[in-house]
Parts: sequence; structure tokens; C-alpha cells
Amino acid sequence: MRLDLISDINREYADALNYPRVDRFMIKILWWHFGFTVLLAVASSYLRLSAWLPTPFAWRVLSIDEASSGAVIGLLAAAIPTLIRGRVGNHYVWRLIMSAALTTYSYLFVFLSGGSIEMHFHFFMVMALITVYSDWRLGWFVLVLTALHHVILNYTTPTWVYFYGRNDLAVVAHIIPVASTAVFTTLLCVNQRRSVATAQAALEQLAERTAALQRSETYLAEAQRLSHTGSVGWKVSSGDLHWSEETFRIFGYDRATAPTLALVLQRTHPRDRAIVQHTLDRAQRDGKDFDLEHRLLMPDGSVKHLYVVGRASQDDESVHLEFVGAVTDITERKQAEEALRRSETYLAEAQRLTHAGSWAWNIAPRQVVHSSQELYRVLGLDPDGGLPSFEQFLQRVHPEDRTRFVDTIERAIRERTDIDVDHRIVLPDGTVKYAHHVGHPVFSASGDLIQFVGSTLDVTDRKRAEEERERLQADLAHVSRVTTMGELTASIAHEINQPLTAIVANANACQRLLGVPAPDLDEVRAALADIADDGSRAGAVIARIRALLKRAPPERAPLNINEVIGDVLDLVRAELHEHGVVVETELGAGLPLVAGDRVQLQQVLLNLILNGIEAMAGIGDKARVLRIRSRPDGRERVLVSVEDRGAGLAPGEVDHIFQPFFTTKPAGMGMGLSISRSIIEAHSGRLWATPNAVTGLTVQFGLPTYSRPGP
Amino acid sequence: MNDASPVVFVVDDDPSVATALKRLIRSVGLDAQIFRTAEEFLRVARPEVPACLVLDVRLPGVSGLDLQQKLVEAGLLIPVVFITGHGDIPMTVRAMKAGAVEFLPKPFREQDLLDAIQRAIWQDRSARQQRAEMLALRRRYESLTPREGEVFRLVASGMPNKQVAATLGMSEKTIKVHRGRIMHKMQAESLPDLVRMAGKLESTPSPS
Repeated sequence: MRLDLISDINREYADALNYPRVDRFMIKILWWHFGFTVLLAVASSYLRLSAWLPTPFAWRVLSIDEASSGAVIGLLAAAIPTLIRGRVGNHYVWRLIMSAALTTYSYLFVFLSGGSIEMHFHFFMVMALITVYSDWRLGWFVLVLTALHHVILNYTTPTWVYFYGRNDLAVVAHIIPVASTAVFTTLLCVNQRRSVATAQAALEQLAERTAALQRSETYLAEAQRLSHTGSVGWKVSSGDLHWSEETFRIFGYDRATAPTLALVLQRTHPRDRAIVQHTLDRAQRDGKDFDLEHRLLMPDGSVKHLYVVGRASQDDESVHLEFVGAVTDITERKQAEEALRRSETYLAEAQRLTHAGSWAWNIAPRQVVHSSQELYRVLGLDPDGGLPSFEQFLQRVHPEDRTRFVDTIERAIRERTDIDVDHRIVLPDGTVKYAHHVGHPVFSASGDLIQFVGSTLDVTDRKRAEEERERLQADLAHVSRVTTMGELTASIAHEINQPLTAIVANANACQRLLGVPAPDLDEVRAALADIADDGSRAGAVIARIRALLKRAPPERAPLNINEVIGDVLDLVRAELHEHGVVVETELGAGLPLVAGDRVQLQQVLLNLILNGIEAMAGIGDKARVLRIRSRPDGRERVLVSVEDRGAGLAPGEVDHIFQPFFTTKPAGMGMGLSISRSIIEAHSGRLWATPNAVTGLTVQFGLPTYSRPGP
Repeated sequence: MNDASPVVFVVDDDPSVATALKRLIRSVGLDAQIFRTAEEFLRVARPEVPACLVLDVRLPGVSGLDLQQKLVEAGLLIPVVFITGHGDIPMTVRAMKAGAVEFLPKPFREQDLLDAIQRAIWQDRSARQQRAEMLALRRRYESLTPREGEVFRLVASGMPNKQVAATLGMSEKTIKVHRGRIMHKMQAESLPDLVRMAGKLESTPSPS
């Protein structure tokens, strides 16, 4: 044990045992002592009490001075601790002072009773009193103080203290009970302190455990709340159910409710009741673990989805079957699953409607990792056959397109770019579909190309519609061509009449030349050669007209645009003539070829030239010059322009001239430029008009140059 | 002059038609010259022989009808045979009014063309003849003295010698002498002949 003579017993301990209150009580006791001291002083001096008492109790009558001194010391012994209480920071020091004061009364009582030995017992009362603090040090302090007092008085003023006079043996005899008392009180104090400490430690431990348990329960409840999982205990034999807080919350019952199987079934969705009942019955019967999903129908009409799992535990006698289980509210998960399923359904539906199948495949190794239902349909694959292999994917590509398709993909992999390729698909039954294949590269965090994702669109319908549209456009162009040719009938007749006139004249000349005795055979030969030439010429005109009147699907062939211009100029020469229009041509030499349909491009030029002639019909004396130019426009286009010197157009009309049925001609249908524009646009070109700086209008079109037939 | 071989001018911008026509015309023994445009034709000086012009209505630049107009305005009297790829009635009317001999749509029968050419040449030839006769007559008329001219106009108006003498204040005898000289100078064989000459001179205005 650590010998500590000065420090307070630990404050918490003192507070717990409420020592301050004991201190206050001690002050009261001191003042009672003071009162008794005064009584004793009066009785021993003024009242001469000893004279009235029988011998054993008769003691010396005290002088008034002695009694007064005793009373003053008694007053100080009560007053000093009273006054300094609360002013001494260390309460233990105060308790030492208080103990000293109490002891002082012991001496005073003995003194004021004239040394009556019985008054010694007050000292034991003091010892007993101060054990209230369970601090042995106080007892020993009192003991040491008293011992000093005895020794000092024994040798200084023995008569003053002791009734019997000085007695060394008596002093020694005093020591035994006093020391015993001290020892016993010490033991008592130590024991009491130990007991209190033990009890306190036990309390603290209990508090700690309680706190830990509470924490753990809080955690568990919180965990249950967060995971929407409540726990359940079910004693089958008694039918007792134990629910955790979360279970109550899930079932929507008040905590005060006693849970029963009936309540469970009551909450269960009516449609699920049978299966729940069945599951619980079987669990009871077989004593086996169980799990099931079912729904709850809550009073507010909402539906919850539960996942219930029960683990069977049986005691040794195999009598008391008990299930411990968990109830999880999986409503959110179910809803998420439902939402996902719905979104997948929508996506599949959207893919089905747009004929767009999505896919994803890894680069190394080439492996398809995703294929939507629609992709199976587009490729004519069996969805039950698992993911198609990359080779299967390729096999579906039309053999004629396969090399190009593979090249495109390899290039995209090499250049890490998007894939965008049109190709055909051949199904095993021979059906051919048109597909548009687009893909996007996917890179890993380290920047490596790992995957391509994209879709294959079945554009067969669109392709067919495009073909149909092209066919209709071709028909319309044809009708327009026939109409234009109708307008040109007179000029065309002239074009044919010219060679016919020459043929007839030459033939007649031959007849006459041969009708003379010595015919000029050279002249006859020349005439016959001319006849042949003119016949060819007439034939060529007819062939051109027939070509223009022919209704053939448009084709894309490499063309020299200058030849096309020449063809048309041959055809309209008479018309130009008729209207006194002079054509100036500036045809670029060595122009790249363009890809197009000869007849349709002739039609466009025919329209532009006839429009130019028409525009200049009313310009009076000025020269009617139509300038036709062809030139390269950059590297990839050829530009053809037809420039007239007519009156031009009214402001704003330039915007309208390409609209169908817009015409400035009295007899025009207004389809020429509209059809011309659609023809040029079908050639991936552009047709537009710009007013000239001085007068007239320039209409021009650009055509892409011919490149090797690609896809 | 009348015996000079006639020439046919062909103006057609289509070379094969022009060549064929030239060949055809030559096959009937006529001379033919071909021109591509009206301007070309106008630039070339024509020989003073009976001629006709085979003209295509549609020509680049100055058209056939315009050329005809210009010729009339310039007093270049050459009969015109029009040929055309496609003629319409107003065009035909205009050509005929301006004195065209014929208006032939292409292709035409050779006989029609050749007939028209022959007719035109005959017309030109007779016109030339008339113009030559007129010229001689006028020269003869201009060889008369002023007094003889007066006497010629009065005699030609049908006045008897006596009345002419009274009008001019001369003797009848003097008038007779003038008449005889007039008859000689004018190479008239009889009085009616002289009267006819006077009529011709009156109907044709003097070129001067």
C-alpha cells in the first residue's frame, strides 16, 4: 500500500460517498461538543458539580479561570474548522484539522471533568467518528496527537491532567487499547475502502459492458435499418416470435404489438399467402431451413418485396424446433430490377423497330462479347446458340463485301478510329440485306484499344425506299425530258431535215450526173460520200433523241463532261439558230472525268441552255451570247456554268427558281430547274444560280470527279 | 449580155446542204456559188450575169429575210428562192411580199427547186433585158434636144401636128421636121411605137 499522508482520497470516490455532506455534519458535531464543553465548564466551576456527586465521580472543582480557558479553547476548536471550511483547497487537510479539533474536545472533557478517567472514552468515540471517512490516516493522526499529548503532559504537569497523578504504567496501559483501536479502525477503513473500490470497479465494468452492449445494439439496429434486414426468431413449439426493430418496421407494426404468424400472414400479399403458408408449414413439419421471396400488401396499398431466410436449430432432445432468420426488404432491388428489365425491353423494342442490333467485340482475341437480340435477328443467328463468334459475324457479310469490310475494320483498329461501313448481309437462305455498320473504339485506362462497340443497322427498307425514290425521280426526269423534247420538236425536225435535204439534193445530182454520156464519176463519188455522211448525221441526231427519250435506270459511268456539253449543243443548234443565240464555249482541257448518267446530265445542260435562250428572247438588238464553261474546281469537282445575257431575275427570284412549278416563261411548267437540281444532287453535286455583275444569270453545277467504284 | 451563162448563189450555213445544192445546180448545167452567211454574200462582187439567190431563211447573224430586205433597199434586184427547215405562214407572207420567187420547205423536191431557179433566172434575165432596153430608150431620149423633147412629149400625148405647132408657137412644118428627127433618134418605126416609148419612159422614173 502506498503511504500517502497528504493527498485527498480520489475525488470521485469522495464525491460518490458524499464526504462534503459528512464534513458539514462534523461541524454540527463540533458545535454540540462546544455546547457540552460550556455546560461542563459551568458545572465544574460555578456549580461545583463534583461536590454533589459521589466519590468515584467527584473531581476537583475548577477555578473560574480554568473553566473559562477550557470554554475558549472549546470555542476555538469549533470555530476554526467552521470558519476555514471551504477555504482550504485540500479537503483532507481540513479533515486533519477537524480531527485535531475533535481530539481537542477529548482533552477538554477530561480537563473540565477534573481528570475523570471516564471521559477518555470520548477519544474512542472520536476514533469511531472519523472512520466515517474510511481513511486510516486520520485515525493514526489522532492517535499520534494523543500520544504526544499524553507523553508531554505526563512529564510536565501530571497532576494537572490525571486525577491519579503521574503514572507511567497507566500511560503504557493506555497504549494497548488505543493502539488496538487504531489498528482495528485502520483495518476497517482499508477493508471498507477496498470493498467500495471493488464495488465501484464492478459498477464501472457493468456500466462499460452496458454501454458496449448498447453500442452494439445500436450498430445492429442501424445495420438492420440500413440493410433493410430485420431478424426473426421463431420457437415453433410455443409459437413465439421475436422480431427486431427493423422487422417491425418492415412489417409496418407497432413495436408494442406482439408478433404472431397470423400478423405475418395478414400483411402478406393475398396472392402470396398460400405460398407463404405452405413454406412455413413445411418448415415446421420438416424442420429444414427455408427461404422464399414474397410480397407484403401494406395498409397504405403499397407493395413490398421481401426475401425471407430461416435457419433451423433444434435442441438436443429434438423437441424444441426453433428458426432463426432474417427478413430483407428487397423492394428497392426489385424495383431497380424491374426498371432495368423494362429499360432493356424498351431498348430491345427500339432496336427491333429501328432494325439496329448492337454489339461489342474485343480486339485481342477477336471475340464478340455482346450481341443484342436484334443483332441475332439482323444476322439471322439463333439467340439460343450463345454469343456468335467473330467468324460467324464475318460469314454473314456478303462475300463481295467481305474483303472491304475486313479492311475497314483492320484499318479502324490500326488507326484507332470509328468504324463506318456499308455492306450487304447474306443469310443462309440467300436473302440479301443492306447493313450500315458503325462502331466506336473503347480504350483502357492506360490508353490501349481493347474493344469496339457499335451497331449494325438493317437499312434494307431504307435502301429499297431510296431505290424506289431514285426510280421515281428517274421517271419524273424522263417525263420532263420528253416534254422538253416536245418543245424542241421544230428544232429537231430542222436538225434532221438538213441532212435529209442534202441527201435528196445529192441523190438527184447523182442521177443527173450519171444521165449524161460521159459522167463526172469523181463528182458522183463525192456526192455519194456526202450522202453517206449526211445519213450518219441524221442517224446520230435520231440516236441522241432516242437516248434522251429512252426510259432507262440511271447509271454511273465515267464521263467527259465536255462531250456531254457537245452532245447537247448538237441537239440545240437549230434552236440556238432560231433564236439568233451565239454560243461561246470555254471548255477546260484535260478535265477529270465525272461519274454520272450521260442522259440525265444532258438533260440538265439542255434545260440550262434552253433557259438561257429563253432568257435572252426579249433583249432586242444586243448580242445574244450564251457562254458555256467547264473547269476544274479544286481537285475533286468539275464545275460547269451556263451564263446568259438576259434580263436576269427580279430580286428574290433566285431563291425560288429551283422550286417546282416556278417559272418565268408563259408556257413553262416550272419543273426544269427543280428536276435539274434533283438530278445533280443525286450525282452528289450541287446546282445553283448567281446573278451576273452586269446582266443575266449564271447557273452552274459542280460534280464530283469519278473515282474507282468503291463500296 | 443575154447569152452569158447564168449563176446561182446559194446561201446556207449548213455546209453539207450548201454543197449538195451546188452539186445539184451544177448538174443541170448552171453555175453555182455557195456562201455560209449573208455577210459573206454581200461582200462578194457579183458578175453581171442573170442570177438568182437560193437563200436559207435561218442564218447566223443576218437572217435570210433580213438579207432580202437589205437587197431590196439597196436596189440590188436579184430574184430570191427561199428554202427553210421549218417555215411558218407569216414568214412566207413576208418573203413573198418582198418579191420572193418561191418559198420551199426542206426537204423539197429537186424539180420544185430547179423550176424555181429556172423561173428566177428567167425572171432575172427578162428583168435585166427590160432594164437594158429601158436604159437604151432613156439614152435615146436624152439624145433629143430640149425642143425635140417638148415636141416628143406633146406628140406622144396624142396631139396632132397642127395643135403641137400652135402650142409651141411654131409652124406645122417645123414640127414635122422635128418629128422626123425624133422618130430617127428614138429609132421608132411608127407613131404608136413612139407613143409606147413615151409611156415606158413615164412609168419608169429616171435614175438620175
